Amino acid sequence: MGLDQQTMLTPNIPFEGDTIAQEDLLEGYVNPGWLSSEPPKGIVVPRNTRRIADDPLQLCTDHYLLNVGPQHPSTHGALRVVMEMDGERIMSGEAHVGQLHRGIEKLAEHRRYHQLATLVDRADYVSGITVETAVALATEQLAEIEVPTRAQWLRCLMAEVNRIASHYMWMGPMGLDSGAMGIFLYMQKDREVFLDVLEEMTGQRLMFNYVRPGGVTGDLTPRAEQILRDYLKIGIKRMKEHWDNLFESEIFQMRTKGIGVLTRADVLNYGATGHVLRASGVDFDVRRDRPYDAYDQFDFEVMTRSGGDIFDRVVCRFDEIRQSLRIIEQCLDGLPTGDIKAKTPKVLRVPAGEACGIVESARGEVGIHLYADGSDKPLRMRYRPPTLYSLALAEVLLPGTLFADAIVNMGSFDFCFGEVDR
Amino acid sequence: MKPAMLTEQVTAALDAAGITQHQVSEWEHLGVVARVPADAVVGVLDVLRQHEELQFVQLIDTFGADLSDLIEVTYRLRSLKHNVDLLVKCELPYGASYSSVGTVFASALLPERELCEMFGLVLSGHPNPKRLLTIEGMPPFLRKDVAIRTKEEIWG
Repeated sequence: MGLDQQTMLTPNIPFEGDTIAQEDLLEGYVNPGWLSSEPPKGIVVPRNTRRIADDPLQLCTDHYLLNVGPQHPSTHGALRVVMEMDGERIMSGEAHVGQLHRGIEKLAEHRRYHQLATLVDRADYVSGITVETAVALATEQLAEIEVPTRAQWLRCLMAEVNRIASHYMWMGPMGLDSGAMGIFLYMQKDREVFLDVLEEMTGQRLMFNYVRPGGVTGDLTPRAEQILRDYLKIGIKRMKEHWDNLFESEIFQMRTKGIGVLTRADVLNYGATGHVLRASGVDFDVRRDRPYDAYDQFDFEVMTRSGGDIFDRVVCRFDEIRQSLRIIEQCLDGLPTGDIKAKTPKVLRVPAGEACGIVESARGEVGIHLYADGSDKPLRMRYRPPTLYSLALAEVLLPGTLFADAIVNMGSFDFCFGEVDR
Repeated sequence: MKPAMLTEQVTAALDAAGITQHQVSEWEHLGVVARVPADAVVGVLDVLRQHEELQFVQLIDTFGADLSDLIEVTYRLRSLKHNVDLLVKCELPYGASYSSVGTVFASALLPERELCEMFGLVLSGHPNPKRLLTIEGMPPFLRKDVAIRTKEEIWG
């Protein structure tokens, strides 16, 4: 197929600077006419070209295989993509995943229900709170635990804080992918604010273990509330700065508008969720359509776009940050009093059955499907990774695009390979 | 859409398509679940997708579970029109051949590869029937007869 395979299989391949006999070159070659008068005695292979045995004089025009990753920084994680290239254009691409596979679903079968949160934190390591919530929801359904109202509101508050941190973590590197350097640093500065809140509330910056079956582990501290109140005063102004820096930039618009277009039929067929779905005009958000915790009590909008290109995917998430800020403000203003944890036994034994907790994580819909067999450990835990489904879409988008566009394309789905590989 | 009505409509749709031996019922915590024979799954998903009233246009998830005597495969379908989910379940014996539903829903293509490598099923009718997460020679990890640690890891 590609040049690399052929050069490996064929002996006596000349490399740059080699002198090769003419008859070697002419094997299987149809003379176009210009060689007939005076055939050269020997041909010096030009620099950086290699001969293909069955098509000797079409030097360097054949497709070649290009390995991107798994260490390449622009794949945003341990993704390896093998692309068949024609010059700079991609003819086909195949994603190879599994470099980060730790068997989290198998390990979950050997953990008690309270311990599952630590596992899923390591699966989606950027927005852990939302995934922990999914585990808690599924367990609470099985064990029939009533969660106190204050705990539900705190879950929503922390999920939105984490969502904004995750979105800024993604949007800055989107700028890097498309040629904007500075925006990454500005967005990291904003992300730090939310990481400070998470650190204050949970003690951790990434692996929170905050949401447990029955409630949450920590109450809202005065310092965390102060940080959030301070940020809410400047949040919209900061977002306006980001908008001017990144989205108003001509380079960013040229790199993203009209590129990587996904139609409504595509995203439905490939099971996309989250911003990929909403950027292509499908109006679905788990927080609004399948409300969990306290989301039915907040006033927020589901942001959709109609274009389905990279620009729409980024802007869709940018608008989500604004909605998350609205939810945070409502949470802080209306936080009910009461307990933050229901009384649950230390070793939770749930009756046999199945339950599924569905949440809107930062990158799409996460579903935790638990099979219980009556013991203190689940029989099976299925983690539905939203970005695994986006990965199939990214593969579909690759053929026919330029390599530089493919990098921005893959970035726009926000892969998290802890989650894809589990 | 109420679960009772969904049960009724799915039953009617499957009956009309000539699919026998199905059992549609409402489960606790899960909503409506349709149990169908394994060889009819592709047909069932196709019927539910094409159905004018129900419109299950999205296959949200495909996964399996080892129930110690058989492998249960579950598909989660979603109808955006009615904002409702439907679970389709089928049962396969160990080591059986699993036929791909990728022709109906492309979203199954990657999870099916994972399903088959993790439960030791033989993937058929798939455009790229390779392993997804592990390399050749690895045991089917999510089966109950595969231990989490080998004897060598425990005893050295």
